Amino acid sequence: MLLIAHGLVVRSDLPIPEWLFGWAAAVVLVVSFVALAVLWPDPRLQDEGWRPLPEGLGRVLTSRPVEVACGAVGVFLLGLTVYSGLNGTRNTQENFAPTFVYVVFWVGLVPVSVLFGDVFRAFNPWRAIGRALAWVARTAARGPIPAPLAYPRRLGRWPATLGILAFATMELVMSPGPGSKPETLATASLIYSGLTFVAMALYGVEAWAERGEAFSVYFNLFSRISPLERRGRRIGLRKPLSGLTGLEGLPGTVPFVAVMIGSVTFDGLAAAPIWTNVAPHLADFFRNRGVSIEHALQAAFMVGLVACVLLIYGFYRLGVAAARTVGGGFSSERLAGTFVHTLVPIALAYVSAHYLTFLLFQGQGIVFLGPLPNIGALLSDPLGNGSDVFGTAGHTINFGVITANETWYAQVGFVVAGHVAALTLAHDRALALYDEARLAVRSQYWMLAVMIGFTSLALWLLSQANS
Amino acid sequence: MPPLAHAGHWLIGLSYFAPVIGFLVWLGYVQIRDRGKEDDE
Repeated sequence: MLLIAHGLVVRSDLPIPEWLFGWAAAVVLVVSFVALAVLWPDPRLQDEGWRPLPEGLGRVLTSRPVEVACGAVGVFLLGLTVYSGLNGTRNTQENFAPTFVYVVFWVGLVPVSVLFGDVFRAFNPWRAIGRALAWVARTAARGPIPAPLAYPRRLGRWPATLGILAFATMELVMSPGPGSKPETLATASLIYSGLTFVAMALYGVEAWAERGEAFSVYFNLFSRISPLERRGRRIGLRKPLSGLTGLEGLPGTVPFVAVMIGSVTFDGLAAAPIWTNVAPHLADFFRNRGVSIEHALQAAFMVGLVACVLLIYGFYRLGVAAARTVGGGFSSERLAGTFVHTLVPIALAYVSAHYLTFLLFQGQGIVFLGPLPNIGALLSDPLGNGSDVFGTAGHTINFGVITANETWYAQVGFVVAGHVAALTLAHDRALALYDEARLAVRSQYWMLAVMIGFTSLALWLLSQANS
Repeated sequence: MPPLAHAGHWLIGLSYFAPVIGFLVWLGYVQIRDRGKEDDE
């Protein structure tokens, strides 16, 4: 990833070796599994139990002026990203676009979605522009405009999967390099916007935003963990995690989540000696076939990224195939789609643990974390041309926000909590799916193996940042 | 570099995955044992 490494601070004085944390995490999962088997005999999360908050609050937050204002903010930020990318300094760290896209938008919106629900839907610039254009078209036509095509079911979430893989390629394969350059980000934003508007014109704004638009799908998945949800013109509370149980296992959903986890896995692996030893040989392989040095290294990284995605996908499918052997008469495809929602808290654990310091340190370019949070330097000088709009251009990163050991404990906490949440979701779904409680528990032995595997991998990857 | 020179790194790396390896071995054993019991019945 661009800019600085995520875990650049060296830990010291941990009471036990780092690998022993992995063992402790596995024990926590096994104990949680037993506790769930004994204390959680009936499905509790399949019904979200949504109940509305006081009507006035929902009415204000979902009112047309607030919707328009949120959309306008999203469009402004997209415009600022493109403008600063094309007209600002070429220095990655001094330009608004890279930090905003890779840190604040890609990473920072994840905890916001988990806490407050599907916030991105309100600020989504493509949805806002699409809806505005549809309104203009209706007004100009003085009546209804032709209905969009029906979104093909077989497409499912595949377009979003390709979109998120393309973004991960820019972030992890082409950075450092063209992928982190402000002008590349601006151009990519424009191309992505164009494609999105064409797709929205074909299939409708809401249908495309719900299934095809990569970032909408990405943040919506995380928002399903949140206890807050909007329904119509009301905002209400539901059981945390329960929003995930309503996730439809459409085609492309498992690959989408595999890209979510696999891309973070590769980002961690890229810092590991095992990869730094293998990558040059892979690059040589491509160079010997006439590929230039720069592109050979990118090809090697692309192989690494795809391999990590396939590893995550394969490990999950293996767990599902094994769970199928306990009986119940379900196909592997059905089980894979039925349990895919359990991978979302794992994706959250990976993102939170891996990008914690990245967000806390690099994010200060946008939100400075001093004694009081303040406007970051990049907002005062988004183009990097010496301007100082808010008088905060001189702010530098405050590395005292979190210590190395605090980071490690927080990372382990995220990983364990995410996997316990995943285990809970899987247990709850199994109880709803299988007629016999005995089969439900036996099928979960294999899901437990998957969870322990993902936990071990996550902690090993985090340890590699300091190796 | 000979692989043995990196044995320490490999072993520490492998130790992270010991729980999942151990769990899978146990799970495989239980599956085989249960199959044997079902066949006997």
